[in-house]
Amino acid sequence: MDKLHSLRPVLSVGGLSVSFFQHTVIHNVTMDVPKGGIAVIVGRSGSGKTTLLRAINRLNEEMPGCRTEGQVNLLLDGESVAVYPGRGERSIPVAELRRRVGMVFQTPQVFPVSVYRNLAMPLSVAMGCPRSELDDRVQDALRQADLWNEVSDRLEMPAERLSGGQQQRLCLARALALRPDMLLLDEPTASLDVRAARHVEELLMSLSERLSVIMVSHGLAQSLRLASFLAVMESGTLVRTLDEVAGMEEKDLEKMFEGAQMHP
Amino acid sequence: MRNAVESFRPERRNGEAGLAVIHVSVALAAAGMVLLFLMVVAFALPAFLQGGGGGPFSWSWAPGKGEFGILPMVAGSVLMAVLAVVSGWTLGLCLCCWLLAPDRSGKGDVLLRNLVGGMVRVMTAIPTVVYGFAAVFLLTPVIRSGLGGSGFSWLTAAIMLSLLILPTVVLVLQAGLGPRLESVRLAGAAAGLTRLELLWYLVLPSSRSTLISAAVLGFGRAVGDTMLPLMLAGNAPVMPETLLSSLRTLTAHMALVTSNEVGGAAYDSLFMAGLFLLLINGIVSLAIRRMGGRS
Repeated sequence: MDKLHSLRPVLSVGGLSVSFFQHTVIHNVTMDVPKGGIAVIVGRSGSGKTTLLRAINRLNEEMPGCRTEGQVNLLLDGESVAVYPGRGERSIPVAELRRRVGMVFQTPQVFPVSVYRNLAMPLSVAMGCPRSELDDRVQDALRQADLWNEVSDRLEMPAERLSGGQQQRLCLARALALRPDMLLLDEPTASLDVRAARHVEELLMSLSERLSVIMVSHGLAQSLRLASFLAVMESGTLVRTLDEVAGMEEKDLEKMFEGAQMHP
Repeated sequence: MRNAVESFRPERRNGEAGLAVIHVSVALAAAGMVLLFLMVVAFALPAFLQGGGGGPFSWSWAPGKGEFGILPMVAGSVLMAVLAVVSGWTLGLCLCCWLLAPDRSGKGDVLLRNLVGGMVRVMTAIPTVVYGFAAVFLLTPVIRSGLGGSGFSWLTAAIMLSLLILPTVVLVLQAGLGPRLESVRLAGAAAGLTRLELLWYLVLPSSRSTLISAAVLGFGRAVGDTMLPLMLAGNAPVMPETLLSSLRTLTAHMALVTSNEVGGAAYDSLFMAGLFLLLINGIVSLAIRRMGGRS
């Protein structure tokens, strides 16, 4: 039974197309992401990987002129949930979906309030977390993001005064505070220096033992370092998926891109 | 010809003429403002020095008896502007929240929002006399039959004044809050927060200066407007007892007296009224800004 359970994909995408004002950005993507480890979506700029990621928590709908077709199914609490439910399917409210599927962006998107409020505000407003539990949950999330030791005495400081790497870990803590079942990461290390990036990478590796992590990357080396599942995007289509990247080198990935360009 | 044009480009090395135009403009504007202040103070000085009974610092305006007190009008201006700003600012803030954080996104709702947003912009261009004229025929009868009194009252004029300052408040708020909301919109949505929640919990608390600017500009317009109080407030030069009482503002007072008198003590007291108007506006602006800066 357990084995059967682990075989169910944590994310299942079927015939997914997304367009903005009739301009198709991703076309007919179908893939199953297995449970465990970090799933990396890799591709060049403009290949549609961010749009694919944002289709998972319906964030594309925040943009004007967006049209989504196809299916996305998530495994939340051992139950398959349709993100874009058809007729008769159980639907999940957008706010709840986004709470259970946390997201971290390419550039640190801290809120212009204190470090503490950055975590406590979504907790109390989006989740209705009682005031008495706030302190514990904020501290817990900051520890998970390995930020507690650096900010424990500066919780009332404006979050914008943290360094770039700290800000990104604060964003990670903010997502973790809501105790999501899945984390979506959009090139989370792209705006960080090498050391801060490695720090975040290590964190993600340890987090992936507990929750599903789906990450967009345009760095081939990073993709090979982190991925347990790899999806290669090119010009809005899924070129191929890999369940195993051990032993692969950057030039092998490079070839995949070139192959895709020759036969679009 | 070409050289002449070149020399008017301030960004050019040889654009001295362009710089000169800028300097002259600044000097003219500054001199104009200083002269205006000096003139008002100079003309107000005799009335100020007169002192004693019948001078401008009394509560009785009865030119026939030689009493030229303008304190009722000072109080009238303050009361009128405060009521107009409190209601206009609140209304404007709510309207701005609705424009920035739609609760529905159907086609009809978008259309309605664009329509209301456009209407607010158009409202800035409507002369106040039009508001006043419309209110005399539409609002005063309603107040008279619904609440009693003559219909020409503190309340009537304040309602119209709050509509008058509404576009100012909304446009200032929109310009200040919109970009801030935009900067947290995606991250907030990804955390499961609605736009209204983002506005309420993140944007408004960090936008104190925008909220204050809107109130200060609104107050300035409300206290300075002449036509609406003149047409709608009844103009009795006494302290109002209720919202339905008649009152006279400094601006309406000045308009009324200048249309009847030239020269004489009544006329002189007008400069005092002008000085008070400047002082009220200055003091209230400073006080509101100080209030916001301290907390």
